[in-house]
Order: sequence, then C-alpha cells, then structure tokens
Amino acid sequence: MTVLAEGMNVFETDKKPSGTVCYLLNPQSVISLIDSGKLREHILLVRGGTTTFLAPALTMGAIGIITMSGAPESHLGILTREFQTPCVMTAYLTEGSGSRYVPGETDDSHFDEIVEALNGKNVVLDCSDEAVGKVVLLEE
Amino acid sequence: MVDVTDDRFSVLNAVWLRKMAGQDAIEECTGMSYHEVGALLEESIELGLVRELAGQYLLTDDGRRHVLEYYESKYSELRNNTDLISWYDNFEGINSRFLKQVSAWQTEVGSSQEKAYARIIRLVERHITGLTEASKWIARYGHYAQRFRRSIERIDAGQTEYITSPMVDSLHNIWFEFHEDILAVLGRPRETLES
Repeated sequence: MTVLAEGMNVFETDKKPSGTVCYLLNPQSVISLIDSGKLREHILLVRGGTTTFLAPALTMGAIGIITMSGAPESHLGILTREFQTPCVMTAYLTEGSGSRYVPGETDDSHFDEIVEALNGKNVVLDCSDEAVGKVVLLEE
Repeated sequence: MVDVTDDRFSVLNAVWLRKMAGQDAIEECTGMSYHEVGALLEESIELGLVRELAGQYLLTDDGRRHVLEYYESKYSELRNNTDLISWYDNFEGINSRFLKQVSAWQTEVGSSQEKAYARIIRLVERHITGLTEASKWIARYGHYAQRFRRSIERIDAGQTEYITSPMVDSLHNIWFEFHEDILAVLGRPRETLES
C-alpha cells in the first residue's frame, strides 16, 4: 500500500471512496466538473479549508475531498460531516520535500508540490482512523 | 451593463451566499415572496447572471461579478467605519467558538453533545443581539436575526435538523451565509472572480 499523503481526518468512516484526483482552483472549475457528469469519478483536491465554492459539489454528490489547508472545525469540515463525504484536511505528502502547511507562513511552492504529486492520480481515501486521513495510491 | 437594483441584488446575493440554492431557500434568505423571487430569477437567467441546474440556482461568472461590484459600490465607505470593523473583529472571535461547538455537536454524544448545543444557542443569541446592533449599518442584517430566531423555534419544536443540516435554513447555514456577507461588505470576500 502506497500512502501518497496524510492529513487531518474530518470524521471517522468506513467509506473508502476512490477516483482520480481532480484539482479545483475556482468556482468555474467546480461547475465545469459538475456539468461534465463525472463528479463522482473524482476525489476533489482544493487549496483551502475555507473553500466555500465546493458547496455545489457537495450538494451534487461529491464522493471525497482533500484540502491543503484548513481544520476540521471549519465551515467546510462541518458541511462534509453533514453530507458524510470523507474529507482529509491540511494534507501533506508523505514523501518529497517534507513541507508542512503553517498558517500565514506557507508559500505557493508547498501547494504546487502537492498538486503536482496528487492531481490525476487514482487514489482511495482511507478515513477509518479517528485522527489521520490517508490518500492511498490505487494500484493498477 | 445590467442595472443591479436592490431587489435583484437581494436575489443574486442569496444565490452567491449559499453558492447553490433552490427557490425556497432564496425566499428564506431574502424574505421575498415566491412570485417575486421567481420573477427575479427568471429575469436574471435571461440576463445571463444565473443558471439553473437540477432545480437549483447558481451564479454565472457575470452574476458573481455583479454581486461583487454591488458590494464594492454600496459599501466602500462603510469599510472605513471603525465601529463596524471593531464589531466584525468581535464577531470573528464568536465565529471561532461557534464553529468549534457545532463540530462538537456533530461528533459528541450524550451530555457532551447537550453541552455543545447549549453553548451553540448562547452564541447564536449573542450574535442575534449583535446583528440587531449591526442593522443600523446594513439593514438586511436584521433579517438574519429573524431567521436565527425562527430556526431556534423549530429546534425547540424538535426539528433538530435546523442546527446544522445544509438542506434547511439551519443555524449553521445562516451563520455561514452571514460570514460570507460581512466579509464581502468589508471587501475581503473568500470567493473572488479569480479564486
């Protein structure tokens, strides 16, 4: 089992959603994905835990979310619990530069490295642990 | 250039604050009637400001631009009001506590959950008082206070979904919308045209 990234698990669940990681940059990219009819084929990767533009994706049945910042005690964390959509927050790569998100101190290179490593990968989210959520590479 | 009247802004703003909303939710947000909201939605769709998706309404890029421009033109002076800024700073402190207690309510059981609920209600009641005060700057903030009161009444009547459910006018939904609203008033919207 190859764990690509870990982060804070928003809620403990046996659900193991899998799909291709899709990085969503803005509201337009969320709507485009919904319009494509392929929302449920993807694990959604977003930069912030305060990313409110994900709300339509949650409403329309998003299966799993990874954020690169933010805490489970956030609006997005609360919404993912309500929708029971597995969510790993403030994810960091298990290999690579070892960069970790620090509020107010982290520059773009941290986020770019995570997007580069995860976007387009087939993964499964493991949110069975109370505290730690894992992004696991789906072996071919 | 489409003219954004106060009524049209109310409807567009409701869609923007909720990010995606059905007509009934827009009615609750705006306090407008079914027919008023329906007519303004239809007109906004024709103008390319709103689109419909599976019975829900979303803003187009143009719609988002209109909302943000309205905030900019209407509230640019208010952004220098030190009393409002101080009021907002106080709200952010309450907001952190509210989010923590809502998360606790979702994850705890038994007496811990009951304690979290009691704290949520205390924070909402404090916020209602604050909203009434803030309505002297922004009249629609009085409507948030009314919605909070109505949802508390529903919870008291046993409809606990009015605490956090995203599908009804829950305390968390109203709070979330207000947070987006005050950030935009102060020129610090989380969601811009670019991000």
